[in-house]
Amino acid sequence: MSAFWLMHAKEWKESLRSYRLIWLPVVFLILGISQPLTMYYMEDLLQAAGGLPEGAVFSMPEPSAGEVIASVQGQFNQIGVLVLVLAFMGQLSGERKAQTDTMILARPVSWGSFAAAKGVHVMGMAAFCYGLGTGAAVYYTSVLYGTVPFHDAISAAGLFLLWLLLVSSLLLLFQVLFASGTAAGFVTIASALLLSLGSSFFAERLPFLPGRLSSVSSQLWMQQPVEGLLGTVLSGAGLSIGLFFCAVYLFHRRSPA
Amino acid sequence: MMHIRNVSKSFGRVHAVNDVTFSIAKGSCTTLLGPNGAGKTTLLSIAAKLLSADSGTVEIDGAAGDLRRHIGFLPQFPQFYSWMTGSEYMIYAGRLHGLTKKEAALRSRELMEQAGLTEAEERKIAGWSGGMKQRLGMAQALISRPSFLILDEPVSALDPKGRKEVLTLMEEWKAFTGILYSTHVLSDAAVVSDDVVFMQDGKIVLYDTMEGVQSRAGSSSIRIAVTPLTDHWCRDLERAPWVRELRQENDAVIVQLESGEGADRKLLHYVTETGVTLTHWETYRPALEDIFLEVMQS
Repeated sequence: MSAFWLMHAKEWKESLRSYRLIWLPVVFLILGISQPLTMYYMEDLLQAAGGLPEGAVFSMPEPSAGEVIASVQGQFNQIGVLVLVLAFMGQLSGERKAQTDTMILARPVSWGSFAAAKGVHVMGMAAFCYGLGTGAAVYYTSVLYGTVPFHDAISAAGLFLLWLLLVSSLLLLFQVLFASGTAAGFVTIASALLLSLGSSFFAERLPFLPGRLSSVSSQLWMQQPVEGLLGTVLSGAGLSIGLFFCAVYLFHRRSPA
Repeated sequence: MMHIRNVSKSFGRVHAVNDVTFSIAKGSCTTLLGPNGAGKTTLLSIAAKLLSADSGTVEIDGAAGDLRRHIGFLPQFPQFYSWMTGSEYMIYAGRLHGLTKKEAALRSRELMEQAGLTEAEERKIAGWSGGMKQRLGMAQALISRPSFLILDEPVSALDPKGRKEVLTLMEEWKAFTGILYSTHVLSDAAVVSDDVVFMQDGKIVLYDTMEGVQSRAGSSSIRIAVTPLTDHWCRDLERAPWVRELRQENDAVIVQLESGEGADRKLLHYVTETGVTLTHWETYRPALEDIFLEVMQS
């Protein structure tokens, strides 16, 4: 096995031993399950809580299946991304600080693979957690509300996954650039926010910015027409790959060997 | 042979390592001695390819470039993945060197036994003592059977018992690798080293074999007091071929003799011949510490 795969396997093992491989998917699962359930039982919940006066009629428009999943995804985009970044912001910088990397980098391994193994692991975890959470959301939504056409679901999920990969690449890059994991995490969240804000600000004139990935994904879930889908996918994929290899290259360049 | 040639490294305006050249033969042990801040760790990190030199080369058997596969490295403060067990770490380390899982496991067991860690090898490193971690650090450096071991302060942080254990391991492992290690514990250098490199302010101030260094120590010094003590008497004594150095201290004279037989007898002869009265005679042999201080001062 190549050094890259060994180091990648070590990342998974570390996530398992630190229970990150358990609690992180659980967070996504809870988000994915709770949103359809609370939306469905909102009326009963409000009545049980006694918050409504006697005789008041409470009616909410019945959301479509797509709208339910889009709102789940809204949770993933806020809480999910935050938790993912918090869980991994010390991944590379933590090793640099604790100097556990010294005895690894003194072996015949490439510095680039060392960083890449970490980045790929975060992407794997993101895909795993998101897949699990969305799977649960789709299941409960199908039971309570109805289904979303399969190909729409796949492309919507793929788009949001691409957004998560972009965030993972940002996190890796900022961990290479900053010595502090906290700083890397903060800047990652801030730049993800800026990307989203920027793309919605320029939505009219530049309908292909990578920051649109999550909002376009929600539109797809809700089966709304989307403009500039291909451009968004291409720019999103391009930026993710670009940032990832930029991070790997910058770390590799520090190698004295 | 490992050759370190004209290696220099600066951090800003500080010359951490300044034009250092020396060699280590396989099967021998070279000690890097020097006070804190002499540039020992920087030099070892350059040799282990964890730091790039500003100029100069490190070669093993004529090859430069990425030598990491030929080198086993122990940093000054080895930090392990504490969630791994000892043998997991060893196998991971071995596989990164390209060993198969089986080879790595076999090699790990062998080294763990030599390091006296067999009982702990299946326990998480988080619960290990400092001495055990240091020995694991030694063992992980050897997992790939490197031609050279680079050890940064392998004994300095240990208690006397741990120190002895690690020195014993070094003595055993010297048989099949070249060892370059740094220390500021001078008495340890005397135990295992063949060559000694004294460093100060990034420069080599003395590079000699252990015997060579000890023969400097072997030349004994004698502190004598005579009456009357005249300048003339001292000048004549200093000119004698068996006197290396003469230092006057209050009303006594410290005579450093050339090494070799009979120098002290010649001194005694000189005293009686010149007709002065001997009031004090004290012989002492400087320890490595004294040579160290002397070399560092000169």
